[in-house]
Order: sequence, then structure tokens, then C-alpha cells
Amino acid sequence: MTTIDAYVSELGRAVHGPARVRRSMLREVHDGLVDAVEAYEESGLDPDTAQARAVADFGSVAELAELYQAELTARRGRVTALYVAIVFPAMMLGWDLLWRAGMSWGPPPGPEQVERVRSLATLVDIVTVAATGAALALFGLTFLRSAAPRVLTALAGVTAAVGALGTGGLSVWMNVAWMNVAWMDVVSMTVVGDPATATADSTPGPAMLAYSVSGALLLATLGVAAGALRTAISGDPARSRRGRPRSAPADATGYR
Amino acid sequence: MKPDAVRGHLDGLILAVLESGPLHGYAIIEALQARSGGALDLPTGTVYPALRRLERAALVSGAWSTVGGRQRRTYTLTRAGRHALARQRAEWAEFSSVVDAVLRPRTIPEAAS
Repeated sequence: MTTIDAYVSELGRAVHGPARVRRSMLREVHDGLVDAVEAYEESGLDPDTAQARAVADFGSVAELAELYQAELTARRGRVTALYVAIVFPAMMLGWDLLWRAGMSWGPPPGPEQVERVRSLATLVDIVTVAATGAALALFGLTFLRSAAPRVLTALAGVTAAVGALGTGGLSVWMNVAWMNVAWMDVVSMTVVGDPATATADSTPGPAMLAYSVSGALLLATLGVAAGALRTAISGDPARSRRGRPRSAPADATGYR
Repeated sequence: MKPDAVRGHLDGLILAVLESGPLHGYAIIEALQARSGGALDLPTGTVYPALRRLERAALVSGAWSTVGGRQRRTYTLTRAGRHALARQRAEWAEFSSVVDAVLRPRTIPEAAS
């Protein structure tokens, strides 16, 4: 392994974030170091000295990792915010279309339940709009060079988590509010025996599909939220410093 | 020049170097050193995250392309980047003239009065 390769993998171990951006950054660093080595070799240095000199000019991983991590963290925040700003309105629109198309949830419950379901549906919309608005604002803030990447990314993660848990929880509650009655209907119908209103098709295929897609999207959103929060927390420079051996001086990369 | 003194101005210096045309990372480092007469002594590794920061702010756009038979990430100044550069130049001119006016040694007659 060359000095350059060793340096790039050391930098790679010190930073984390979206895989594609991280790979691209490390490759760019590698290319830049190769360019620097070639320039030194052209000026008459032997390959080993040229590599050592290029790496020394570059700066130690200890002093640079924080700068690279800040950009990776900011990218994670931007991706997370964009994900929320797309997925949540898409889900709301999808369910709206299904309801307008007249998808049924089986036999309608009493007026009291319909009222409860209606207000829960409004709450889901409110949570969706709030999460989308917050995500759009955070997305815009990632364009500011002065924005604190870790704060933005943590907030994007919290937005995704609260949005997913909020809409998911309310939706489950909404369905329980509806199905309580449907279940009682099932019981009474079984007892009384009225095959005309049997609930065999109370959960039609399209509804099942919509439930599965929504559930999968909400789980994926929780995953995205966890990723953002992990990046925001582990991108803490104080934490990474604590993780390093105490005895090693700040610039002990071994290549200076 | 001390790296700490340069760090706050690195973004502006990079924008200035890109004004004349797209460059890849190492060419930007070379251009910074050439234009400063070699006086700009900062760790070259700080240039790459600065480029990503400028790209995030949409002041430059970066793309992988083949230069000299090798894949390289090339950066181009965007329209917003040009505006930011003009603004930074105006701010710097004002700042330096103010600091200069205060720091300049007073002339003898003034000192005598």
C-alpha cells in the first residue's frame, strides 16, 4: 500500500455520511494527492519523498477530518429533508386519491365513529403539512454556507421521525376507530346471521396494497431518520476526538 | 501567510481562481499558490471540503469528467458564484480601506500637532 492509499483510507475511516458523496470525496482526495506527487516527481524528487511531501502538504487527518465530516453531515441533512418533503406529500396525495376514488373500508360505522375518523384524518394532514414545511425550510437552509450542519441534520432527522410516528400512529388509531364497529358488526352478524352484509370484502385488495405501501414508506422514513440522527451525533468533533487514543498528538498521522 | 488568516477567506479566493474558467481540485491549489506568489501556505487538504461547501451553496458546480485521459472532478463557477465573488470583492475593498486608514502611521505634521 502506498503512502497515499494509507492516507486516504485513514481519512475514510475518520468520516462517515452518504456513501456516494463520501466515495466521491475520497476519490477526489486520492486524485489530488496523485497530482501533487506527479508534480513533485517532475521537479526531481524520488517517488517516496514525493509521496511523503504531498501528504505532508495536505494536512493531517486529525486537523482535516472535521472539515470533511461537516460537508458529509450537511449532505445527509439535505437528503433527509428532501426525502421528507417528497414522501409525505406523496403519501397524502395517494390516500386522497384513493378516498376520492371511493375506496371503501368495509361497512361504515356509526356517525360518532365517522366523526372521530374525520378529525383524525385532519390531524394526519396537519402533521404531514407541518413535517413537509419543516423539511422544505431545512432543505433551503442547507444552501447556506454558514449553517451548522449537525444542527440541520439532527432537525431533519427529528422531522422525519416525528412525521413518520405521528402519521403512522394516527392512521393506526383511525383504522381501529373504524374497525371497532366493523368487528362488532362481524360478531353481531355472525350471531344474528345476516349473510347479505357479510364482511368478507371489508378490506378490499387496493386498501391492503395501500396499507402495505404506506407502512413500508413509514418504516423507510424511520430508517432515514435514524441515519440522519446517527450522522448528526457521530459527526460531533468532540466525540471523534474522544474516540482517538489520548497519547497520540494532534498531527500524528505517521506521514509527516 | 498563516493558515488561520487565510481560512476565513478561502471560499472567496477559490471563487476568484475559478473566474477565468473551470478547474479541477489540484489545478485550483496550483492556481492559488501561483497567484499568491507562493505566499499562501495552507494545508492543501482544506481546499477540497471548501469546494464541496461552495458546491452545496450552489456557488460552483462540480462534475466528474475526463481531463488528460484521467477522471477528474471539475468545478465551474455558477451565476450565483459570480455574484458572490463580486460581493466579496466589494466587501474586501471596503474592509481593507477602513483597516488601512486606521493602521497607517500618522504623518509627522499631524503627530506634532
